[in-house]
Amino acid sequence: MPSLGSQMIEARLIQWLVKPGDTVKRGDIIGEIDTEKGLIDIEVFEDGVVTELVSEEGEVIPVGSVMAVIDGEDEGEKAKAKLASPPEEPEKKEPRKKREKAATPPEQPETASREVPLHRVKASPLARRVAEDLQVDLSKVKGSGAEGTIHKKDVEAFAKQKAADETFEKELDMAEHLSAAGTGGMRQAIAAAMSRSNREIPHYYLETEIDMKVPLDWLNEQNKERAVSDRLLPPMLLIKAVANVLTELPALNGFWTDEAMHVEEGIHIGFAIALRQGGLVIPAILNADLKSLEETRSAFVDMVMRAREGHLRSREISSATITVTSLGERGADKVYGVIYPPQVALVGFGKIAKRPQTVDGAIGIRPTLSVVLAGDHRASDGHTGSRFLEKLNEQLQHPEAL
Amino acid sequence: MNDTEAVIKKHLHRVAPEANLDQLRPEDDLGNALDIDSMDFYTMMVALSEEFGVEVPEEEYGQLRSLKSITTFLERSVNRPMDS
Repeated sequence: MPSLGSQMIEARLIQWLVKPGDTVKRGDIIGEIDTEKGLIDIEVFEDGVVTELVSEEGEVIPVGSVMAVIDGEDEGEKAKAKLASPPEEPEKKEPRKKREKAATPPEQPETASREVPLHRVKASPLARRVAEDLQVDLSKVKGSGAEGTIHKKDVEAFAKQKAADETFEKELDMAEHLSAAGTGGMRQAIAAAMSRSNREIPHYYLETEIDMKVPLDWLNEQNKERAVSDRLLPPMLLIKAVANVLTELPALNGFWTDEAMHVEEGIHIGFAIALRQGGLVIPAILNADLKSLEETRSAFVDMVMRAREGHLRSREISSATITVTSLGERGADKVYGVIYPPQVALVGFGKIAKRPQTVDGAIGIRPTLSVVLAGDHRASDGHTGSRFLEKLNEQLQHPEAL
Repeated sequence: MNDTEAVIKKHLHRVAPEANLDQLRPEDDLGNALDIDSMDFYTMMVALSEEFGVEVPEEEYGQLRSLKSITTFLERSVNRPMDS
């Protein structure tokens, strides 16, 4: 059972779309699960042959459990049970940094979960005393001192994180309980994630207004030559512009885990999509920086359609490295978003509306767009955030280069 | 309700299944009346364009906001001679 986010515990298998003996290829949809994020299609991440369906339709399955066994064509045993852990992206432009994680960010990185004999742990005497008081297992603490020596502050930070995780777990238990009682699992999952965000993430907000005359004029010109089904819509430009800026400012793309920022190499833009029945889903446009604007357009249309029909794929629901929310033409002027943990930034776009703007020393009425960046102050500072907004504006003023 | 309106309402029902379309007035702004966003609108216009076999010019797209304006546009486009 793949994890579709840090708050997911289990999901119900609705149906298998394959049977033992079927040959599957990477990217094939092999089943459908019902999660607090709605109905999700499960993708397979290896080529091979289905040899066994372990889980039964209708069964509630904990995250990480083996649901099916697939024998890889070349690697035999190695490909087994790959459903729960998608491998790394094969396509990459040039490595900015070795990718540390696959699509699903683990709650505890390897360094913290590895068991180390206590007598080999390097820690200051004060740290050992504090660890004893706070009942912290020193072998699980990452030291910030020379050669990884653990200091008092490391123990205290670890204890704080542990307490926060425990609170979060309790809320999840409550969410599960309420979900089982039929009060809406998606609402409860959103409640748990957003509560955690406001409790743990020190948000900072930066906002700017972008003159949209140039990008909208360009969009209109483009659309004159296109069939209605191939129309370009403003959110497609915004997603592509955000992805391009993140290639220059990777500090906003990734996860805050284990008291540290982990920059992700892949730029997967999560896009918040409101559902008519209430709630929202945030599937990601994978590797948006490597896609052309045309590819972004087609990925966006496909994703929004499937989100509304309940056919999102497991990988796109769990991969976002940053979130973009756009309120559209009838929305509010500005949106001050709540970051989706463990991500470290959220870009909120308000509605594009005609407002007075100073252009070449004169005041004119121009279509403008308010952009609010919500940043995690543990991971980045206002300076980086400001540069992000500045570069975003530059990107949008040259839409032909997107 | 004429045939064109019925087809438009069929597609509106697909994007807003819970909306009571009987209460929709011809001049109502569809976005406000049915809480449909630009992607819903896009989906509906693609479906209508295919069903009626008409293209939607860029200068018209932004004007098509209500049942009445879409009906008028579709009927005019379908009846338009091929060479105009």
